[in-house]
Formats: sequence, structure tokens, C-alpha cells
Amino acid sequence: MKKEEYLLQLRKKLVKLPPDDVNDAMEYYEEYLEEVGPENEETTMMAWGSPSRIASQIMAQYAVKQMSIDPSAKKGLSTVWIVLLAVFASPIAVPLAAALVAVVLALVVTIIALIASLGCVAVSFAGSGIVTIIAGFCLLTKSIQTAVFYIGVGLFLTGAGIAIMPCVVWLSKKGFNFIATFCSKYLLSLQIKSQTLFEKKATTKCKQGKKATAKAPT
Amino acid sequence: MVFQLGSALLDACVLAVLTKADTYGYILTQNVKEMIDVSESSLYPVLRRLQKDDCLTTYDQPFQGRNRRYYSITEQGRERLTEYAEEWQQYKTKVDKILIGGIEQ
Repeated sequence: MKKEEYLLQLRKKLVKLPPDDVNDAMEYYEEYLEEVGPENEETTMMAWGSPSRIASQIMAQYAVKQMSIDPSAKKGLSTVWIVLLAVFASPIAVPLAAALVAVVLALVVTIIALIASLGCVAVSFAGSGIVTIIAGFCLLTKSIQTAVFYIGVGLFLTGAGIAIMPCVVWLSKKGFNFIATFCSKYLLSLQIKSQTLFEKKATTKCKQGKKATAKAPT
Repeated sequence: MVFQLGSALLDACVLAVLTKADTYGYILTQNVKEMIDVSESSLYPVLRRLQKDDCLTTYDQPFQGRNRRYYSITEQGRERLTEYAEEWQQYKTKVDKILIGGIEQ
């Protein structure tokens, strides 16, 4: 692969990161290839491995860094996204990656469903409360006692609904944070482990290949 | 090398190389590679991390019509290195005790 092609592929893989970080990384690798000179470019790129391997290393490190700087829900979600990209970019077996993604997806969907159902409870409390209050006012002319009872119950329901709302917001923040930390901690360590495993396999294969070619002439 | 190199040790090695002189990416990588077995591609994340932690700064210097990015250790980087060196000394003594001296009865 040509140097330009290699660098272009790397840039494409990094597209999810902020432009400044991408440029910084690109400058480093570009400069490095300039330094080794045209005759050693090929071997250097071979030693680096595929552009996606380097990209996943950079993104992995970026995701960890991001989580420690700003653990808010929005950043958390984009971290999950970057981690997933890093997992896919690494050369682990595709079925394994798919399984991992499925597990994460299941986790995300479950947490979102739980939070959404709680939100529904809050809204329905408030809604039924308002309806009951209106019913109470309608009954005012017929029976004061019943009307007061209805209005009271309505106020209670509305209050309960409004009280649950902040809990739902708080829970959703916690939930997304949990997913984000889970992803960056466990998935990344898994991904890095599998990556080193892959590298070891690749180097032993290389060595075996060299041995075989060395033996061949004799 | 059979022993795994953690990120802290890698940071310490890079900082140690930079205490001698400012240097640019390629030479820095070669220097670190002389000491320890590290893949070339894994050094960029280390440099980036150290830079974000304000342990090193960079500046560009023109060379043959292009730029070389030089890395320079900061005061904070030196402090970090001293910490690492102390920690390493303690760790090393402990491991030596077990590996070489055997556990004393």
C-alpha cells in the first residue's frame, strides 16, 4: 500500500473524532513516515499494521480520556459510539464483535425501556390528576363534598406525577453514564486484550514464515 | 520481553528520554524502542496522553521544507517522572526480594 493511501485510510477511520485530534494524529504519522524515508516506508507501515488498527488504538485512548474529563450523559453516548467503532475497527473475529455489540445494544435498550416506562408512569399520574381536578370542578354545583374530594385526589395525583419527573431525569442520566463507563472500561479492555492476542498470533506467523523461507533453499 | 509493560511505565520511559533533550517523534520512538520492546504504533497515544496531562509540550521546527514536531518535557512532567522513579524503586525492591532473594523465613 502506498503511503498516501495508507494515511488517507487512517484519516477516514478517525472521522468520528474532533478535527483537531485527527489532524494531530495525522501529523504524527505523516512526519514519522517522512523521517524513515521512502525506502523504509513499506516496512514501517507493515510494522504498524492496518490503518484500522492504529485508528482503534487512538480512538480507544480518546474514549477513555473523554470519560474521565466529562462524564455527562451526552458525552457518554458519543463515547459508547466511539467505543463501538473501535471494537469494529479492531481485527477480532467478526462474530465476537457482533456478540459484543448485541450485548451492549440489549443493555442500552433495557435501560431506555425502564426509564421510558417510568416516564410514562409520571406522565399518566399527572394527566389523570388534571382530569380528576376538572371532574371535581364540574361536580361543584351538585355536591360540594364530592367535588372537594375529587379535587383533592386530583391535586395529589398531579403532585405525585411532578415529583416523579426529576427522578426519571436523574435515573436516565445515571443510566447512560453507567452504559458509557461499562463500555469504556470492560469493552475496551476486552478489545485491547484481543488485539494483543491478534498481534502475537501475527508475529508468530511471521516468524514461522521466515523460518520456512530460510529452510527452503537447503 | 516476557513481562508486560503497563501504561505508567511507558509514560515514565518517554519522560525519561525527554529529560536528556527535546526530540521529535521518530527519534523519540527509536530511543524508547532501544530500551523496551514496544510497537511503533502504540507510542502516539502515549505522547498524546502525556501532552493532555501537561507533562510535555510540543513545538514545530522547519526541516527541509516540512515541519518536525519536537516534544519537550514540562516542570509537571519532571515531577511526574520523579514520582514514577520512586514508585518503581519500591516495586523493584519488592520483586527482587521474591524473585532473586527468595522469601525470607
